[in-house]
Amino acid sequence: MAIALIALAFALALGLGLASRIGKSMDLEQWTIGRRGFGTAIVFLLMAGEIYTTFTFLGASGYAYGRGAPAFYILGYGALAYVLGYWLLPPIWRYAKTHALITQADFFAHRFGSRGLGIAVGLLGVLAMLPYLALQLEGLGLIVEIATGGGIGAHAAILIGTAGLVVYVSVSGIHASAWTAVAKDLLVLGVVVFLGIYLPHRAYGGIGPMFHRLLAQRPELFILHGSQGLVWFISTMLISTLGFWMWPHAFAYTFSARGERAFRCNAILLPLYQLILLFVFFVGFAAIGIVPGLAKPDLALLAATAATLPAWVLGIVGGAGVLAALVPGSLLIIVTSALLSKNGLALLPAFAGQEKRIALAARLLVIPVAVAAAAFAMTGGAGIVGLLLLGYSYITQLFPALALSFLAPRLISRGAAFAGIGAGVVFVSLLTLTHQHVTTLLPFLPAGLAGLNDGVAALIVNLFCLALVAGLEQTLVRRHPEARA
Amino acid sequence: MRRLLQVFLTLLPFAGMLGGAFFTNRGELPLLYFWIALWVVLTAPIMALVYALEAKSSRKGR
Repeated sequence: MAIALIALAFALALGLGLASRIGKSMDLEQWTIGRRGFGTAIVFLLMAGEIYTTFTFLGASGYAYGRGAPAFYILGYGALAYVLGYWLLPPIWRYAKTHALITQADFFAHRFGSRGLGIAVGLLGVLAMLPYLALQLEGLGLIVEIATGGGIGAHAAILIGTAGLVVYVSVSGIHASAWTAVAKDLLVLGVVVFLGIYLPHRAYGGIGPMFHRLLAQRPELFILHGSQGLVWFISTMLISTLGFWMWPHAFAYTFSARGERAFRCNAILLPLYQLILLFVFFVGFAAIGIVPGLAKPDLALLAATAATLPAWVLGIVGGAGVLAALVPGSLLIIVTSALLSKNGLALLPAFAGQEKRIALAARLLVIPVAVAAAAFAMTGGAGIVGLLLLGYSYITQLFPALALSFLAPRLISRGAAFAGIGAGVVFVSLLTLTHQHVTTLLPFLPAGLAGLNDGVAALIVNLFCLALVAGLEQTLVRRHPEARA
Repeated sequence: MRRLLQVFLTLLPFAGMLGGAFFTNRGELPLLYFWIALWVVLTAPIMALVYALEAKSSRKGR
């Protein structure tokens, strides 16, 4: 029964994905950003796709189950990111529409007048997105394996899911993501709200009694302390907010909007949608009483469901999990392929000015990108999460240059942007490769900063280098006006 | 003046969530959980107000 329900969800995604192609001619702009024709509702679903990924099913409930209070940052940063999006996305959208830009790398290359910066940003984007995609596929495999009681193995599920993604993404592009997002959100919403109400009632007699009992038994679960104290909480929420719109696929759904009103309306609506995460946390906390002592906290939602509900309900949960992996996964594949084609292959003489050839290459690149991510998902293990967190720190380094290019365009040059992004990325890499923290690398810093997110420390280095180069350039131009580029 | 009010309103959720965490990190829904959720809820009407101010100023501009 569970296998049939999961197969039904997969078939629904495949059917919707292929049907979304009907009546559209697929050039690169149509395939990647829907020819900038999506209204507020579709942009809402694409933006909300970030809230409900496999991370929601596994990570957020697992974080609440295993760590408690630190999980609350997940609830907060999304709302803050939408507030930031109110101001940041309209000028990005306007600039991209005016100059007919398709990818994030196009944007940086054009904005700073530097093809080299475009290539660097594109490369950074691909490196950051591959672990993100692999994590979605790994989550899909885990969900299907548990929901079917081992009837379909994780690797088999990853391969089937990847094959489905390749088919409908190469045919329909971002339209497939948009159509399947509708089904995904309806199913995920229903599952999360049901479990968030049912499981606390089943285990504790209600949400209120659950918290009263847990607060009495494990008060430390609801306080930020130790390495995940207040400094960690605030800096992680801040870095997640600033990095939210810096992902290449965030640029894709920004470019896909018909008008800037979509961003302003969604900045009002999406924070409320974010509240559904409360129910995900309720599931994680309820699981403490239902399935205590799980070796893998990420399995809290699935294990609690399996322990209390019949197999067919687990099948529906599994189906929702499959859709939660496929929708963001499809967008990640589209954007990675478009970056490799538009900002990689297009630089080769054989592709220069050949729009049709570039579009075809993007759709063909879906296969190696998906295969690489699937292989990574099956062999990467715990390393994927580490790489994803590293990717988040990398991608956030684009924020200062981007924000300043709108706030103070006269002050920031391609050199300053390069210096800031480069310094930030090098600093993050240095901390990661040496397994150091900013307070051990710079021992004169106060011990209270021990929980500071590495990404925030790198942003400070980034801003310092950016300001230094911008200042030097300004001084040079003042002394030698003829040197102005 | 209107733009200043918009900026102030935009910064409110940041101050509420990031700054408020200092005063609500107590287990007595637990307080921190409730506080973050409250600000997520408040963000919607705050941004609606920011949008209303935007619409008003663009109408005035026309």
